[in-house]
Amino acid sequence: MALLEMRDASFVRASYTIVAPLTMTLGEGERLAYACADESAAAAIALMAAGLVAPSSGRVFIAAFDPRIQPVQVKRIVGYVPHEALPHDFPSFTRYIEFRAALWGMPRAQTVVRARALLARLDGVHEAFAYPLVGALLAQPRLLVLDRPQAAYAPQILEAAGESAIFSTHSSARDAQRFNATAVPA
Amino acid sequence: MKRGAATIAIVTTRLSKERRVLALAAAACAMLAYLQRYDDASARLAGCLVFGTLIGVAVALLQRGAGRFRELELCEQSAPLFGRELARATALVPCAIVTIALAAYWLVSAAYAKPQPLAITLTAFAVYAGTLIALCAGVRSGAARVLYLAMACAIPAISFALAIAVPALVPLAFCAVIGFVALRQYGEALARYDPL
Repeated sequence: MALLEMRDASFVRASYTIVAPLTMTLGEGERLAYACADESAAAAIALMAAGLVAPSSGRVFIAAFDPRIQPVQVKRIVGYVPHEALPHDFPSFTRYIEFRAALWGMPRAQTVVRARALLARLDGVHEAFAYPLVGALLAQPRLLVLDRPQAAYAPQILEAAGESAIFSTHSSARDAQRFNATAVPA
Repeated sequence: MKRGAATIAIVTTRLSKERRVLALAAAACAMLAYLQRYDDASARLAGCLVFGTLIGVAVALLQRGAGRFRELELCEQSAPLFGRELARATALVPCAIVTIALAAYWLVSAAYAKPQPLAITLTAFAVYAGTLIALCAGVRSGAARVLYLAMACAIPAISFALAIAVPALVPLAFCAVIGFVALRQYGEALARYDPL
């Protein structure tokens, strides 16, 4: 069974096609860096893959769940890392982790300890990107969706993600290539 | 327990980011209470209803406007919460702000004329109903948004007219029903909300 499946999924906004019909599958533990035409397409595909945005046409399934019908089940499977940094919404890393722990129903103290361990594994990654990544990995998602991650951080991201399947979108083919090269060693 | 923790986390995080809005709303309501005339209870009730609802509408629209909470919203949207749970938690934020603003109004006005408990209750109910309808406007666009805003602004007028014309429980019941329906609508809209 595919963990992420897109069947002719497209995204149209105000009669402008942002994402042309896209068909792809990703299995458990697999990793795919997807090069998109532009930044808006990369953002839209990542949000569709995370089940946060419904496609204008076509279907998206995550572990056979339809995000439109079973959004809560889907969100328990997916960890989503937005492109935008998270610098000022929370006064400290601990407060951010406590916030996420409360939303995901995880024990606060244990989650903070786990978050610190994850953060230590992301040595060299800027905190603006490391914090959301740690937040997404806290609930041990089966599928990690990254919206335009920094290709320079690929080794650390792949190491921190462990067994999770990874789907990342990129606005340039070079970034995607770099990510894929790290994910699948020759 | 878990759901309560999520609600508390969302409310406290959003409220901590809305401190300036909260202070401004409370100060504006206190100023209105200071400037209003006290020899006409009806005029006082009408003023508080209109001003409180306008503050509620403004605060409700700010909850999902201009990308102020973009990252926070994405985090909340990606959490395994049902739309109604998210709606309840996010609706508590503007309701808490208007509660404090109304409290400031009635505290200041109490220094000049004894407020009627019924007027305080009716004001709170009507302002909550208007705020909840305005929240629905925040997750819609185009004509639907304008319609919801018009409905939110009509609530104080209807409540005032009912308070004058019929027994006191009728406007309270009216506002309670409207507020409940608006919260349900908000939850359903939030479940389908598109963060793009």
